[in-house]
Amino acid sequence: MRSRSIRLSITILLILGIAIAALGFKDIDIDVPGFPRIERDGTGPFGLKLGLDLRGGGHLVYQADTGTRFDVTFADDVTINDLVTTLQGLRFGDDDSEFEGLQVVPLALNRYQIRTDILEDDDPRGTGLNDALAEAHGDITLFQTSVIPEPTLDQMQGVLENITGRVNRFGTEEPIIQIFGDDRIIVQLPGASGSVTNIGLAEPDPEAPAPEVPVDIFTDLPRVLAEAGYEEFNIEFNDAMNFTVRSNTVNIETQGRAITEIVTQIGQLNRFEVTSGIDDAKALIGQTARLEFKERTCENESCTTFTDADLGLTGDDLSRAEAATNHLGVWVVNVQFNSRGSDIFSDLTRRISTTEAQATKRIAILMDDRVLIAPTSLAWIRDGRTQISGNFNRDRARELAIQIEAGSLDVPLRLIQESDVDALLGSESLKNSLIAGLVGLGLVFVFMIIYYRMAGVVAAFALVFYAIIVLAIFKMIPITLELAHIGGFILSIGMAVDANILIFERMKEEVRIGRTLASSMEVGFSRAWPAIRDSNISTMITCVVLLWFGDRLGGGLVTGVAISLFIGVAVSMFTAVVVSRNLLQLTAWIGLGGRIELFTPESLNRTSREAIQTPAPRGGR
Amino acid sequence: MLDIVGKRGWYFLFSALIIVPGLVSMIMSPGWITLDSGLKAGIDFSSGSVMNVSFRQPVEEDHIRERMDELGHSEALIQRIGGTNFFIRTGVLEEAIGDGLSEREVIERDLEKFLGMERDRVEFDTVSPIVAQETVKTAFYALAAASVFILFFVWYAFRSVPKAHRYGVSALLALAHDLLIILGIFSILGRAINLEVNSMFIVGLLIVAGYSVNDTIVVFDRIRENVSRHPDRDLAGMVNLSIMESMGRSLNTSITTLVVLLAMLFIGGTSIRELLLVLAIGAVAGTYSSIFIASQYLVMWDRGEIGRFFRRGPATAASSLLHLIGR
Repeated sequence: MRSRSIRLSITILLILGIAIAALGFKDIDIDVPGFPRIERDGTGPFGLKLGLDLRGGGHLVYQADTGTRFDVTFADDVTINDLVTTLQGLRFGDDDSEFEGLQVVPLALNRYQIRTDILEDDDPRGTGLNDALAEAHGDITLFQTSVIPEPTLDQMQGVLENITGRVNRFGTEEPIIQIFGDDRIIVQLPGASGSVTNIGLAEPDPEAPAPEVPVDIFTDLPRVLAEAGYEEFNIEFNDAMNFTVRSNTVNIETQGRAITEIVTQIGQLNRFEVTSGIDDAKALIGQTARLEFKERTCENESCTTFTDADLGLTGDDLSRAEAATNHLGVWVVNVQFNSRGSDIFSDLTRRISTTEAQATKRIAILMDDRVLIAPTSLAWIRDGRTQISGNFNRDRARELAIQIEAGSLDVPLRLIQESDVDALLGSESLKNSLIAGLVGLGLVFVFMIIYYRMAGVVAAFALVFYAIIVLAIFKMIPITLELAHIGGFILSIGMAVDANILIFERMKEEVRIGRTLASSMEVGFSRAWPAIRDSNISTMITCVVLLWFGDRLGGGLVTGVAISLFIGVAVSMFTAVVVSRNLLQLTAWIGLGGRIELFTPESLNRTSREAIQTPAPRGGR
Repeated sequence: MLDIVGKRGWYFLFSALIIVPGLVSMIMSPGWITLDSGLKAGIDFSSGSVMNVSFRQPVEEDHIRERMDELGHSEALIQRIGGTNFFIRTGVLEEAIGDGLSEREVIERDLEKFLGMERDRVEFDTVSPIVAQETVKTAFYALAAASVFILFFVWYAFRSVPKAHRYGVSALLALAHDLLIILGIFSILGRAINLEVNSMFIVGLLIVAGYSVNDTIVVFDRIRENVSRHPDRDLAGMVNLSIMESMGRSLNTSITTLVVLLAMLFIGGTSIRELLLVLAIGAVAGTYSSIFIASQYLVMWDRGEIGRFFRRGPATAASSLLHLIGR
């Protein structure tokens, strides 16, 4: 009995040691040949992985934008409001059906794209639309119908690759991009809200004279950044030369001032990169970005009416795209066609760069059906290099270049869910929850110790043990912690106490009917066990069912809660039944067993005085 | 010993005092349990955008409303969530087209300029109607599936006592009771203080489902033990004994759970306050129902009171309830 208990104690200590080691070493990298490599280096306390709501960032859900599209060009002036009113008023067929998922997008003057859910070929809403619109708004010069069907898995894979390419070129740290369900893509961009500035200092020149005032980076860098106009920032000192600054959005002037100030006051820069917030990322990620080059024939002098001829020349025929400023200081995108593209482009420019062609011919460059620019070709371009301009600012030019390089999406996407948390807010939430958790835990300790005395102290130890093991498991799986997990974890503390309470209450009852402390413990445990087992199994069943449904519910939110609750309940059973029990037995052996009043104060004033008079049991004999 | 079982009518009456107004609040116009009637549906269920913002200086709701009206968002719902923190809910905010600013950007810049909003402390959510509908549907299916599994598990776990299925059904009835109380309270709070329900609310309901059954089973375990030991005795007496024996544990567990939840509610961030509120109500309701509701169903079922209650029609049903209270 006793030796078994000692073996158990050693096992418990071993588990505790491993758990503490797992948490204590912030970065873990175990590479044993023959086993998968284990790498854990989260950004949170103890190296835990933090979710977006605790570290800040953006969570975007895109869905394949399937449906039927009508491209309509009116001869007369039609405003978007008029058109929407008309469309909403239209009723078709015998059952007066309306459009579902109706959306109108202006493409150009008097040119609109009407989007609806997918319509069958013979649907009166599709076949009757042309006439209905002509009746309401006059002549229609162009009416085109296209259907975007449900995407195939291959198409979604392609879209995933494209988006991954775009996000990686954009340069956010540790993005998560995954397909979700049949037609959705989740993009998680940590820290994508506000700005992240990466600063790298160059090694100081040994020949240069030492500065009069020695530089103390810990005080000087914050001061310099504040002088430059950075507000409410925090600095991570990655090493002696590299720093990551998280701040609210910093504009170009502030960045310029910061560079100047750092160079004059601190030292030469190796690197100064600013990645910007979620809005830029959003504009970049979800666009179809179908770039097309068309041959435009003007029908009047100012080219307000025209026809575009398809050349079969698209963004796929480009091999490189790069944002740059041209000789006028205007932001443009320099592009390079591949050999097929170069041939077509060369042929086009040869034809339309002649003097007489210049009067009527243009190159129309369209992105997602909107004209970026439609220049006249002044020269025959044979090497496939050209420039796309269009009143861009720096960000827009960079964004376009990225989209062109990563390629267009096979399937148009629509942003259906977004949630952003600023990094600063995230770290505050984390701090608050940690404090709240510790305060809550402390209050529980106080309650347990007042109510159950020595047994309460044992429960407190068991709880600390419990918290350490659960956190270690969170880290090693690894689970990306979000606020909801912390909520689930903290609730599971309450439930972990429950198992202890069940055991102690049973123990007390046994003491009351006159058993010795040691036998009360044994009987108490075995009586409490069925309740602990069955109640916790029922909670685990709920967790498993939630896990099943979870990945379809709220984007992983439910999954997270279910996992953290499941782990919490499982570990709480272990700690109550193994750890608390063993600790109680130990306290009995070290001589406290005789002092029953330390364990159950009630027994003194209630029933069995004889329990106290019973000589201290030397456990196990 | 206190006679808890004998006074069971009172407990049902007490629960009804909370559940009935809640149900009325939910059913009242404009619609049946569509989430946009009784429960104030947050954007997770009705689509729209939500911003949690804070200001450098004290600001009144009216100031924000003025700015939002100016920007063409007269639909905005503005609520103070404590100090200089505000919750602003609008229709779905449009993305930027081309080089323009997104609607969100316009609002943020405006509030920063005129009211000193802190732009780096913004929490932003937007949800389209598609996601909204799915969440409710999936949560409902998940809950239904979990109920079936729990029913069969309890049935199996209590197979050593006669009529084990009754324990499973009673545990589920207690669960339904707890969920109705939460829904009712949130529906009333939605009317009173515009408290919205979001997907965290659903998560909370699901966790409560786990907690409620857990708590009920602990009390049932005691009944199982006592009934197995004295199979010849009256069930009502055994249930009463079991409730009294497990009372200390029930109260202590809910106290420790509440202590942790309240610490989170008052010290932790505002982001999960709905979740914590649901859990706190659920912890209280769960403890109450496992003592005063779930076990009483067992007794009523055993005595055939449930069947009588329903067979007699509403008028006599009411009198039989009075009769229950009377004794």
